[in-house]
Amino acid sequence: MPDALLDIQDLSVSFVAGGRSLPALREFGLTLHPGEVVGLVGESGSGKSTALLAAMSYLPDNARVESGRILYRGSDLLRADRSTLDTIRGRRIAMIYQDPTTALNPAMIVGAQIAEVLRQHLGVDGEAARRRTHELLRLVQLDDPPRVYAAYPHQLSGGMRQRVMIAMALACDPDVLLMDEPTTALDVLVQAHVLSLVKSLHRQIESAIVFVSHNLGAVAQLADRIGVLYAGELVELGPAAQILDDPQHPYTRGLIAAVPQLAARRLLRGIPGTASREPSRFTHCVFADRCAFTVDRCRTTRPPLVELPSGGHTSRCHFAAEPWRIRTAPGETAGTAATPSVSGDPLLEVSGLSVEYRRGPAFLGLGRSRAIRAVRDVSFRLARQRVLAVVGESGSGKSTLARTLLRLEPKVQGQILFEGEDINAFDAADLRAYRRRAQIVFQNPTSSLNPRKTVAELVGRPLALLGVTSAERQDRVGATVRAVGLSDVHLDRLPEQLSGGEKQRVALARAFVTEPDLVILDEPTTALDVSVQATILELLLEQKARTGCAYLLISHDLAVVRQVADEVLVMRDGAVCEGGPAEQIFTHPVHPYTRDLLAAVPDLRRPSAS
Amino acid sequence: MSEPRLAPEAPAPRANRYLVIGATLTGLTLGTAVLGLLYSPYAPAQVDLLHRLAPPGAGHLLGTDRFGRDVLSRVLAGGWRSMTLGFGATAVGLAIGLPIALLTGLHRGVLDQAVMRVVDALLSIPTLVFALLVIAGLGPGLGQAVLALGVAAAPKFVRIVRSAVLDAASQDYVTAARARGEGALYIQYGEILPNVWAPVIVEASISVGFALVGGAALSYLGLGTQPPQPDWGVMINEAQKYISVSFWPLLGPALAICASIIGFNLLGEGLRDRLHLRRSVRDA
Repeated sequence: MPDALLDIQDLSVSFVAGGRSLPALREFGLTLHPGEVVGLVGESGSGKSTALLAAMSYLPDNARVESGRILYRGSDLLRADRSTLDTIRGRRIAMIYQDPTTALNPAMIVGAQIAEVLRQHLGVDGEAARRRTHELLRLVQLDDPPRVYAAYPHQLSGGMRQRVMIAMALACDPDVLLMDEPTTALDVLVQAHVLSLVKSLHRQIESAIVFVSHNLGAVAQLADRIGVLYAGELVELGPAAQILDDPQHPYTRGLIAAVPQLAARRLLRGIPGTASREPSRFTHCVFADRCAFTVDRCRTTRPPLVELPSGGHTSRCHFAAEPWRIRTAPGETAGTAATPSVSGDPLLEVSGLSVEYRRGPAFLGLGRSRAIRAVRDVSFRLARQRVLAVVGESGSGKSTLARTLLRLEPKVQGQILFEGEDINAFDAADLRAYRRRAQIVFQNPTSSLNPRKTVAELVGRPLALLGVTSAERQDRVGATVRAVGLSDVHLDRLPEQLSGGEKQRVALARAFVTEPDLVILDEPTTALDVSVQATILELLLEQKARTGCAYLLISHDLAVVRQVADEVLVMRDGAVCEGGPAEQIFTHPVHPYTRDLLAAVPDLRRPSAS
Repeated sequence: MSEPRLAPEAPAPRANRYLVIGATLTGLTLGTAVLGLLYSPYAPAQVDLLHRLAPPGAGHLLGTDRFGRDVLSRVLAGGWRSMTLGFGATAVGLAIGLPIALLTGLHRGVLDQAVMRVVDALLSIPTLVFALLVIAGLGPGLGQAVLALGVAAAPKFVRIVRSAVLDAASQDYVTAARARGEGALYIQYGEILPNVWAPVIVEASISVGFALVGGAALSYLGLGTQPPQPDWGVMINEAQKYISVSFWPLLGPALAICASIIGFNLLGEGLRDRLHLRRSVRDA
């Protein structure tokens, strides 16, 4: 097409590691027209960032471009010399990174960093550069540009830093803006603000945008077209509305079914298995081993990219032309009802809980210390077999609350009653009994599982601590590991030999092996891919039904909370601002902060006003 | 959800070369020490006044010293003493440094601060001077030298291992261990220690080299191995007085010390690169 701004053709990229060549992206093609927004979604390892970095010619040293062309207004960036690249990169094509904290120089005021871009690319200097920088800061809706200009990165919040990064990218009025997970590192409210900023900027400036994210909701808010990447293959590309409402590729369908949504409580469907990383995966359909509709042909032949009759919509599936063969039978959205409340005394009753941190004296206790109240006057009850979700942004005190309930925080005021007994008054024997009955699952299984221990050792340790004999331990470890969907072959493996989802299953097994009554789930799915998250949530509900335990779920993700919580506690700055039955909080929120949080969750439904 | 950043491959060949050369030299010196325990061409203390300060020849492959004693035999016989200095001092240093690092890295507070300031103060004293201070209290001798060099090496072990402990202690598996009621000793030695072996091994192999130098220096000063017992440092000490007459007695022990020091340092460097490389590939 003559009016293509950026035209990526047949791009294949491999990474070389340990003498082996590992393909990361295979025959990726994307045509970007002026003024359009294309969203690229995919889970970890899908090749989406590789595609962006290749477009900027910023691939790491061990990456090899196997084939393809990246045409910017007709000239091939992959074969361009350094000086040509310098006139295009950062000037005509600008990039915004995931983490604004590492992308900004901490030792320079941000104004000078933007002015530097202006000087470098446009030769604008002195007063003119300062004026233009103020303009840019105003463009990204930062109040008081002179103050932001003179600020160091650490003096700005995460959202402000990301705005500064956007201002810097816009400095030369680029034709193409590449955004690599620009909102992933941000809290939900800030994420919503940055998304709406990008949306309004897109109306003001003429740049075309490629928006890469693993968050389908965020992409749905912005994109005109959406491309879906899986294991290095672009499996589907088409108009956003068609991709979201009528996805064609089985993976896209699975992905959308796995995304939790605020609108209703429903059973999420995960995609079984994990994405293949085998270098040989491209000889057949990359999704074949996880797809419900796989036939022999899928395992032997690589499907072509099929243009669908609806126009501008392609799918890499053998059955793209026969869509009726890859539909699931109806009735896939069976709802899960809230657990009926069990009568009797509550399992956990917390009243007037406050936790104080002392910040300060770094040197031998000299100097003054400052008290910070991380949790302020929190009260709630948790009945048996129920799920209480504690919701809040980072710094809201929700993780401190979790640690307090496990008696890991020293300075605690208030009462925590477990079956009517104050856990802070426990003696050693009581505490040992309590530790068996209250377990925790952490956010990041890579950090929560000791990398030097095998699965059997990890899961068996809580039992060994309780003095369970080795033979009985072996039985119970085996049974628990099978209950979380792993098999005996996993027992001798080290965490590094497992995928992220498998690791989190091991962490769950470790928590459930002592048959606890209370399990604290601290962001249990945040570090996982969407399709894996759904299977873990499913597993959690299954385990609750099996063991009859209660969950205290700590999460920042309201959509996830919606799917599993019976009751919700909204926390902000250490204090509870709203609490009650989940149904009521989600349908009739009272506190303005709760409403803001709910409004900020990017949904798969397309924004009406665009 | 960023793409895998795989470790660049370039450092691998160089690291392997370090490792190979280091391991070969280390093996050679260790072999010499072991051989010396089993065999020597002459008795190490056998005096032959007719052949004093002889150059290398058929009878004496590395020549003879000022008393006509066979240099090769003395290099062989002195090997185990030098190795004892190197390994013994490192073991003593680890035995003191490791528990302190694990304890203070895990339980941070006033005690940790106090210990670390003391460690910083000790680190500011040169190792050999520190060892001399300890010897001043213990008196000269091989065992005393091992102890002195070990004590002097301990602060460095505390510093280096502690940084690895701090890193491990911030991981959730430590919190998980606390949450299930593990004791402090299990957390230190069962959870954290297995994850800090890499820097410990690297530092230990480099420290063996240092202790060899230190041991040779102490023996040279007459504070380590006591003459007439041979030890590479003692031999150098004796030979250098006659260097204007003949440098041959110096050559054997000097080569042996050089080989072992270079060997252990290269081995440490190689291991460092190797373990680091392993880790970055695994993270990818």
